[in-house]
Amino acid sequence: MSMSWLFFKKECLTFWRSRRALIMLVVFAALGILSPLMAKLTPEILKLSGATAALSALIPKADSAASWTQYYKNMSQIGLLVFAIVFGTSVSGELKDGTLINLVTKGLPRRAVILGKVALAILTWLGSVTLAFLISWAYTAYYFPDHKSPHLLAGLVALLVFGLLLSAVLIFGSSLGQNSAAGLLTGVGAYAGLAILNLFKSCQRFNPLSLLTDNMTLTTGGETLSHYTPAIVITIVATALLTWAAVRVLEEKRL
Amino acid sequence: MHNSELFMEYLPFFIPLIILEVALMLTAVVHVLRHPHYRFGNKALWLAIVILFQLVGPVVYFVFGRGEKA
Repeated sequence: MSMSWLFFKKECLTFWRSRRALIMLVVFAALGILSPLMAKLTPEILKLSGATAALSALIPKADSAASWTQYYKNMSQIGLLVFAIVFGTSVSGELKDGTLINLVTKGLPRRAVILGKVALAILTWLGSVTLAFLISWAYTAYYFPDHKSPHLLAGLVALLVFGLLLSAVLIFGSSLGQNSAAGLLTGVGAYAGLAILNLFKSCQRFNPLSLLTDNMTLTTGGETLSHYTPAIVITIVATALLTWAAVRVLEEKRL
Repeated sequence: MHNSELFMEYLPFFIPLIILEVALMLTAVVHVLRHPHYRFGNKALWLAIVILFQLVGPVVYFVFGRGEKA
């Protein structure tokens, strides 16, 4: 245990020194500010583009629901992408540079490598998404004080839970090969697979991807979080399985 | 609404955004200057990328461009 803990601390230090922590902080803080800003600007821009009276009736109103829609769109697109880029080379980078050889020959269990990396990825996701959420929440509460998004926490919890699976997929993918694209490609593949499954309505309750796409339904109260309990359970089980698989892959690997 | 009024109204959004972008850019510029070994490209290229492309430039530099030694 103490070795795992030491490796985790070393991972955190590397994460900070390589400026990756700063990237996550700045990008997610910026997304938190941008979301309410985009919600506020969209109707203005449409107005400036010379919409007629008939058209302007169709223009979405700037309200808190619009702001949170932007937030979840930003998180699931740019936020997800930056997170995947930052963590997609987590293991493969070390395999390529041979930086694990020293640690493992001195007795660090390979299990500890994967656990430390998955833990750091999960904590980073939780921290960054929550930071963006708090910033977005402060602006939204100030600029759009309405009651159109009553269940903020339900939407956020779903997004946070999805991060568990995302972290495990990226670490698993990046432990497959020295190729720096392995992690990203595995992530894209998993995303595509889940997206295809999501086309079937009966699967949606069970699909982890729902936790990334249905946040607005949860926020506006169209559905309760308990409706997605199967998806949450599957996400957690899949996270554990993928972490275990990543450990197996790394144990078989020549460093 | 006049443009200046519009700008003032959005100032609470712009100021923190600009601070974040400039802070990340400066960190990247300092790093580019102090560590003249890159995985590819040269100093001028990375300076241009980091300064011209806000947010994206520094992210690309720190993830793909920086040399191995911290």
